[in-house]
Amino acid sequence: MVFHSERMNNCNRFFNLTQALVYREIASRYRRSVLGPLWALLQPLLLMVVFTLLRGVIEIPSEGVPYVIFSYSALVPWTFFTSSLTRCGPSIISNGNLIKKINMPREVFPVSAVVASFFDFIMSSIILAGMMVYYMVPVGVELLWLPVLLVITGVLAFDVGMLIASIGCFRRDIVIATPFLVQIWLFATPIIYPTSSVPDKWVWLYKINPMVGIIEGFRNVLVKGQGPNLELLTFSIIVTLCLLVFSWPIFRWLSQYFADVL
Amino acid sequence: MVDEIIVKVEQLWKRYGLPLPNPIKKLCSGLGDKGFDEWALRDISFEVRKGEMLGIIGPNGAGKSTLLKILAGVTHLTHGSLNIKERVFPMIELNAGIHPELTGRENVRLLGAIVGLSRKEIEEKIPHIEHFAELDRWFDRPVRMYSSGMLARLGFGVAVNVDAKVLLVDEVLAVGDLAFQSKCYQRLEMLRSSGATILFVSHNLRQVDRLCDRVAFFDSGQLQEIGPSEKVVQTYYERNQKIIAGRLAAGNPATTTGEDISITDVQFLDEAGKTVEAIEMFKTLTIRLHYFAYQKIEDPIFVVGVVSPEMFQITNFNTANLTARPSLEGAGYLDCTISAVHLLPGNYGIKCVIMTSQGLKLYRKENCGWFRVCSENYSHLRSNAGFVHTPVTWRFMTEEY
Repeated sequence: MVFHSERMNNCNRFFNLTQALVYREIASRYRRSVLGPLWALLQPLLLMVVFTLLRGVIEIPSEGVPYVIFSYSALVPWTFFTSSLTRCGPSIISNGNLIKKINMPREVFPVSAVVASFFDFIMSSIILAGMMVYYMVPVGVELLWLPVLLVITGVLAFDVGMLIASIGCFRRDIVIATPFLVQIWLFATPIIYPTSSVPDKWVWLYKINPMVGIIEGFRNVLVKGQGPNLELLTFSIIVTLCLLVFSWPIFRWLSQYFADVL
Repeated sequence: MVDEIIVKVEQLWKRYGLPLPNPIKKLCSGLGDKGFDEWALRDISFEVRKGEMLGIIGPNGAGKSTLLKILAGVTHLTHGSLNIKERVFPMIELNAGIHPELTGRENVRLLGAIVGLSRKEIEEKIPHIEHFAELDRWFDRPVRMYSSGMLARLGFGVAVNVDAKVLLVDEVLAVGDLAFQSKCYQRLEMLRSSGATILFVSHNLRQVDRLCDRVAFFDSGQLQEIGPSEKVVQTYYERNQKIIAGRLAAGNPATTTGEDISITDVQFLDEAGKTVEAIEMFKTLTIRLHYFAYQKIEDPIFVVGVVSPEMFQITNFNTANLTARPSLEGAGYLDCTISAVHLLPGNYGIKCVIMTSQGLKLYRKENCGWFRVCSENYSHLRSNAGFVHTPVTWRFMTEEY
């Protein structure tokens, strides 16, 4: 066992490191692009346009809300979740040189992936806010649910991201499959359609997806002026916590051997 | 406390890869996993005391870097125990964390956070790092524009400004230019005199001998010898000599052919004119160069160089000052006689150049042959003390005030 008598403030180090990595991620990504951080808003916006066009062909109910805002209000948190995942996946592999050389808490890589994606989320929320003003969506105290929903989304992304990153370090397949699986997950979540259009006999299966409660929650709070469906949300929280208890120890154990295989 | 043990390694074993139970391992190997069954380190035990500089030497793949990785806490040891009492800082190519799109200054902040400095500490150190790295205006330019030497300066600038008590140095110093290298060595000496403990991996034996108090010699994952630098470096050096000599015995390097003239063979002769492989120190050695000139060559100049196994040129002699130089055609040989060999014991190579009197190179060959200098009568002369024996006399005198 390594024993440091001069033990540093680990929390502080973790915070500094996360901050530095997030800065590296954001500053480096946009430094040589023309649109810069605008890309963060373009991504969900383009998806929304695609789905709005799709709706012109196929009948998709939107529960009495303008479809544009119906889908965009779900796409924004969803993009936060998926871009966290796709950033987490290769985060260990691409920082291999660092991990092989310096001892540091390896959790900073998935954590900073989630935080960097949160930055993108803030950017795309600006457009969402603009739309809500334009469509005169009534908002109220329900907005106080937003931080809770965001924390759950972030933690869930961290759970799944840790699993992808750590296992992917030994077998790349899982990292390669992530973008594809995320696409399937998109259609298994009420983003472009409401939960009410899911056939009754499949609802029990549908609700196993922890993102259902979260996305429903976001839409209720932002567009419908209601609180989230507490039953669904509680289930999402339980799944998130169970996953955390399961994936963190796995990540910890595997992280001892990252340097061996990178 | 001078004798305080800072690093204590006991019966350390290391094998790479996940320690999975056997059935899973078999399954994995079915999935295309290459076997990780080799022990990278076996049964290593040693101690390093406060303020000591321990050199780590050995051939490639001996486990030197693995050891440093374990000491740095980057990878997990398989068996045994490791005890480090101070903050360890690995000075192993810090450039790993550098991002090309960020400027030098931003990267220093990033590296600072990576090595565990607080923001305040980083901001305090940035002027020192900027000064040490000597990058001037490049410090605020994106790192992608840097040369590799400039990158190394940046990484090293951060590394030497971290107040670590235990430093792991892995051959990072080789990248900078000469002036920067000597600056780095000075800084290492400074850190050490301020009480830092340094573990230093290098292939430069002379440097290790000069800088380190003790040296550990690793080979195939095992600690072969640890002790005073001079003694261990000598052991390693002798083993290398054996390998080199063995390779030489396996066959004379093939001669390349020049268009006008070439050296066909090199012989080493002793006083009696007998062909030898080894010559005793202070005896006469004749280097006989057999040449073949394909056409008439007017007034050629022969240059013979003596090189060490590390390919350092030790000395060279040429025929430019010779008053009578014949024109050459066909086969012949040239004798170059060293009346007393003052080279220290070891293996030495010969390189040959033939050129015209105007300096145009006609023929050039690096490895023309090797000979060994031995010293049965002068065992006090160490082969790693340098290359050349310098006769000196000493005299102690007392003076009246």
